[in-house]
Amino acid sequence: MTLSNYEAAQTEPANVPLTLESGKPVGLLRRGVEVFAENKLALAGVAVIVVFLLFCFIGPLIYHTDQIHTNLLDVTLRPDGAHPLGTDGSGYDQLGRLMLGGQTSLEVGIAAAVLATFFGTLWGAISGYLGGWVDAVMMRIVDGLLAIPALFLLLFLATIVTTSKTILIVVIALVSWLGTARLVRGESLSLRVREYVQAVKVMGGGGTRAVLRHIAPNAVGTIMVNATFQVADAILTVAALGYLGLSIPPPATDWGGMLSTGLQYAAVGYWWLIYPPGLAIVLVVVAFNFISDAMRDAFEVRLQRR
Amino acid sequence: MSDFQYLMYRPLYYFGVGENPVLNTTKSLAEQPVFSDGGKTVTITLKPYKWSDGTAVTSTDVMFWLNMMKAEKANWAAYVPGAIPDNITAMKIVNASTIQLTLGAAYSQQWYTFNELSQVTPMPPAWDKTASGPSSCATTESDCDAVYKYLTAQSKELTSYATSPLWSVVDGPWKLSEFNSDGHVTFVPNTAYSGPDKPKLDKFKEVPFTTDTAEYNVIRSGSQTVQVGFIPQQDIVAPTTDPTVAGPNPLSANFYMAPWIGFSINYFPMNFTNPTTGPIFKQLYFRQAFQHLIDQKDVIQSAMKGYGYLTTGPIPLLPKSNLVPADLQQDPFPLDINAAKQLLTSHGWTIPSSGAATCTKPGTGAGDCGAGIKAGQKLEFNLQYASGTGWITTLMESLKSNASQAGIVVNLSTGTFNTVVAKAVPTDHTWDMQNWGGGWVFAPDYYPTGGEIFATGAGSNSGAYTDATNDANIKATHTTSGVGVLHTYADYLAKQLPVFWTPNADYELTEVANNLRGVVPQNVYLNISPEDWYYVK
Repeated sequence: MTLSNYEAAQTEPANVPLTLESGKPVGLLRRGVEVFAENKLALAGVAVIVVFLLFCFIGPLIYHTDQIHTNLLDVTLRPDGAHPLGTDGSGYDQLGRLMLGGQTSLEVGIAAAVLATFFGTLWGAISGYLGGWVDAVMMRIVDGLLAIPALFLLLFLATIVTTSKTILIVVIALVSWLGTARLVRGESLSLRVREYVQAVKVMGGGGTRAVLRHIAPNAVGTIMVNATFQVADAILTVAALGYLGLSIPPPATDWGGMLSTGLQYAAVGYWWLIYPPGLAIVLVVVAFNFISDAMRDAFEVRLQRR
Repeated sequence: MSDFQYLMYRPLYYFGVGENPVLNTTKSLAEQPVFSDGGKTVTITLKPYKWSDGTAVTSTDVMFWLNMMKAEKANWAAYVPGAIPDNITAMKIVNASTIQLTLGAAYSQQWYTFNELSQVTPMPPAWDKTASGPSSCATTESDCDAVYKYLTAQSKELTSYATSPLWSVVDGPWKLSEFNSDGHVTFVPNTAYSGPDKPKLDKFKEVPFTTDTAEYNVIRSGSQTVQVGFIPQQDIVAPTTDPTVAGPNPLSANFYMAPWIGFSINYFPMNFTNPTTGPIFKQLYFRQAFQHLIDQKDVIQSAMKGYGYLTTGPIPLLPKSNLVPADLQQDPFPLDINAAKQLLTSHGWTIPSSGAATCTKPGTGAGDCGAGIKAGQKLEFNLQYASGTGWITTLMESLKSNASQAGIVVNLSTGTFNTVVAKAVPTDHTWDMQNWGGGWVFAPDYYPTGGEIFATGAGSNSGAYTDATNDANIKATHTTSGVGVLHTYADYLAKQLPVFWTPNADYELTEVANNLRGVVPQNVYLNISPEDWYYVK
């Protein structure tokens, strides 16, 4: 048997057919989807995310506003027919700004989560697979970075570089991959002693092959659940940075920056500058958390049989 | 200085009587200076003030300061080559209360009093020492360096400020009782104060806030923990039509509002020494085009709620004075995007439908881009501004928006006030434009001749602007009395744009507890005088 044939024969646990009480064999993936679909909060979460994605990315194609040029003659207007959510302190239409800000928050949040998950997965998988002193060094690096308060690191990084979407993604990913690395390393430690990984070694397979083809894919449940939580965390981080005035410069914006600006007007009661971005942040983060919870149920075999 | 130093250490001459930009003879340590010998000799006579340790404030204490200034001019932020102390050729102690200065040339009496003598603050004999014991800086300039080093080292001991036997020797109405480097400071009356304006309060506390919103939240809570604060412009509900007159006050239940106008101009500098963008900034047509993109009027009306006024040149429009030339009462460069585009396209720039204009006619001819500008160079600049103030953000967003319509890309970024100011120095060639939002307050250069900020080589000439005509005009204001030379200087510089003029917000919309008096009228040079405050029932 060649190595490739062996690997093909060693189907991963996610594809192993199970026989449930009914006696009918059901794939883990399918069962996972069913478990996910049973979770009403998760479905609501998906709906919220879809609505916000449509609102932020399709909305501007239908609801046209000028989010580039300020209009100082129309600042802080109350909501009316022309501006359903009023205007802000620079005369931007607030509804259009909510769409623009959402694009930043969602793009940066999702991209940072993906980047952090990818890097954290690789780091953790390699560390756990190799073990020994390499594992010790790699994990001490993670521990060392975890010891630095993330907000301090974010503020430091955001201060020394001129912020842009790309920079924000990288900066947030830089402080977000550590948790993923630890989780995947734990998975990797248990997976590397499995027979099919040992067999790859025996048959002459290299470490890269073992990590990329066996360890990482078999930790996919953990990784995906973690990634979804990462999205929620990253969106909150973008909001926090925006709130602290360290988000991308105008005329771009994000929900945190909008909230920060809006709060300057709290005392004069300009609610339309505060509640919409605040509500958007809360809804999207809660939605991602619902989805994450449901995914954990779906991928975790023990939780599937509730 | 105005919130801290002058409360404890009185300057030789104190300026501002309420809203009037004049010499305050009551709070000054000395009688008005007497000029003689055609303006080449200044005689200063001290009033009978005493230090808190019982010793008299003498002419030797004035000499102490002047000697220190001479010895340490490299460490004096307001030093301008040729100005004080360089323009003093001899100093003579006439008696314990009188000192005579011989000047190298005849100077305008007003300028010399308002801008040169204004920088002198007598220092107590108790400070004339080093770690090894008493020194003689007051009489021997060569001793001053060691004294300076000793005092500087002592000044780094922040925790000992309130208890230090060195710093507790004061001649002002207040002395420190508590000092925290985070900005919490408590003063108590100096019981040995010998001036006429003795404190009536038993304690005066200064409380720091990181943002104006945080400060406003405290005073609007009605807790009365702060008796004198301010309301941020964005929290004003109804705008005013006159920046000097208070409109509706949302806090009227507990406070009365008083707009505070400082003797200041607002601007942000451009870096003439930047090797890439400096050659563009050196082109007058570009500076004029860019100035046409700054919408002062609408920012004042919208973001400042009317509590602001134009900056049309190097002389403040408020408080109203005869110092401003007639033609600078209006903005010479009002918002005009078409005018900006015209200026650029007529000088070799091609403006695309979007993005940055490029130089398509390099050279130094009449219709060319100008010296040092390469073909294909783009009109793209970085502008860092101080975060945390609503109207500054609005101004910057508006500028970026307007500039984009004229083919100029402005990359905005934010920083703290300190970060932005620290970067804006002439020795740093990397920045393009820095806006700390505060421009320049004319203190202690109380007569607005601009020598501290626009003269070639001046320490606060952030962008290293240099212009021989302007230097000559400034020099004329130093040597010739009367407003004529000041008008000539202002007229020329306003249109030369050594910096970009921006709207000037009222320094503060002060909120004063209803039972507190003596706070208003507020000092035009932004000094505070809690010794004049008192409560009524």
